[in-house]
Amino acid sequence: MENTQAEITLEDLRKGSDDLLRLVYESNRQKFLNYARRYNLSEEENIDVYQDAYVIFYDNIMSGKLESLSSSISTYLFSIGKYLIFDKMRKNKKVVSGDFDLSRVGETDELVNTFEMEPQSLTTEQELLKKHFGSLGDKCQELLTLFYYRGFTIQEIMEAKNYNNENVVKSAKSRCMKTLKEKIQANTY
Amino acid sequence: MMDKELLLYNYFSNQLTAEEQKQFDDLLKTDVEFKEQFDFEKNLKEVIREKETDSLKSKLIGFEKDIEDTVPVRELPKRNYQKWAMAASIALLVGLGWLGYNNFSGTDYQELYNDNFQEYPNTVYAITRGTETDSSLEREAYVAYETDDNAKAIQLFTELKETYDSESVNFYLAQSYLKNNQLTEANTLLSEVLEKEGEFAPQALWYISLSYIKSKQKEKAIKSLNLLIADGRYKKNEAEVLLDELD
Repeated sequence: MENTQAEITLEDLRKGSDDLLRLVYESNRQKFLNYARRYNLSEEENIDVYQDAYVIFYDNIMSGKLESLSSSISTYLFSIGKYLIFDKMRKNKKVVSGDFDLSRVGETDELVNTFEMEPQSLTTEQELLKKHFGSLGDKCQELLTLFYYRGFTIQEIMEAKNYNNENVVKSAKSRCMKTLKEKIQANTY
Repeated sequence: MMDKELLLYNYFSNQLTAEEQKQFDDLLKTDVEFKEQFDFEKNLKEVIREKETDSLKSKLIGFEKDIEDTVPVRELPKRNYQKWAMAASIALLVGLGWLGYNNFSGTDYQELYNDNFQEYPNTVYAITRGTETDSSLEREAYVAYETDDNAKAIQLFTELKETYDSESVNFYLAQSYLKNNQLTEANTLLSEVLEKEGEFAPQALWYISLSYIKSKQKEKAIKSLNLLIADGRYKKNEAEVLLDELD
């Protein structure tokens, strides 16, 4: 299992196939839960924390905050998870007991301190945009997601989605944006 | 001047050069239309991000469900095993305790302390919070505490106590004193925590008991352990075992 982990690159993660997402989820899960158990949260809470840590890790890869993997994936998940657990305990005023491994604090600290840990909730304007984005055709949603979320360039989109040339991608993107704006205007006025 | 559309494109694909960044910033300030288009795309990016995050989260819930569906077969024997392991270790503890009691007339206080003392983890201050907003004294104190730099932790918590005399500061300062083998100082602070009857009161009882044991004040240790057992919120079982060994 260690070997499969070591071979996973940031590029693989960016592509985000469901099989890979599942592999990463399953191969780090038990280790993480064993680690989290010392903080005396319930098993359900630990699973929540694991999932949140996973989402945050992934989100920071996609936003480009994490440019290269300088540690193993599990180390990232542990560091984020630890932050989330502390946060939860502060909010719950939870009492802890048991064994603790705080030896890696200094190291893990550095690793994730540029990460975005708490995503902002959407503004009213963004909520509206979300609604209309969801009503766009699948092709448009996919194209815009590749560009704005996965950070693909026009050329990469062309290659990945078998467009004939870059201009076709560009004009498709412009059309999608235009449709989206029209939907919003139709709604607002 | 570069094409505005290209500037936006380069911005969202993280490819702005320093020169372009400057143009970009100027336009944001001076060109209303450009700013509007930028805000629109930025909002779109955020919306897509949230949508993708939600979809990832529901995938994870699906993975988890698949795992749970296969687990119940394994869980039952494990529980039984745990129960037996617990019973066995209690039997062993009782047995060893009895042996110890019979074979050695005097209690080895130092050993009791060493067996039971484990520093309380930092649950108050998450050190991973953003550094720029948090170069505070508080942060430094907890970093020193977590990295076992006891002398520094004592100094920083003491400083912190002057301006911010809270239960948690007293508790962690007491912990630092305990780790540094300064029992009298630790006891004074733990008593302060106890008087407040707040969040850390049961923990303070446990640690003051250990401190009494280390300094061989058996009667005081027994009294505080009994209080801790009566309270029941923290280390109740450990306190009972310890009490047995003292009696």
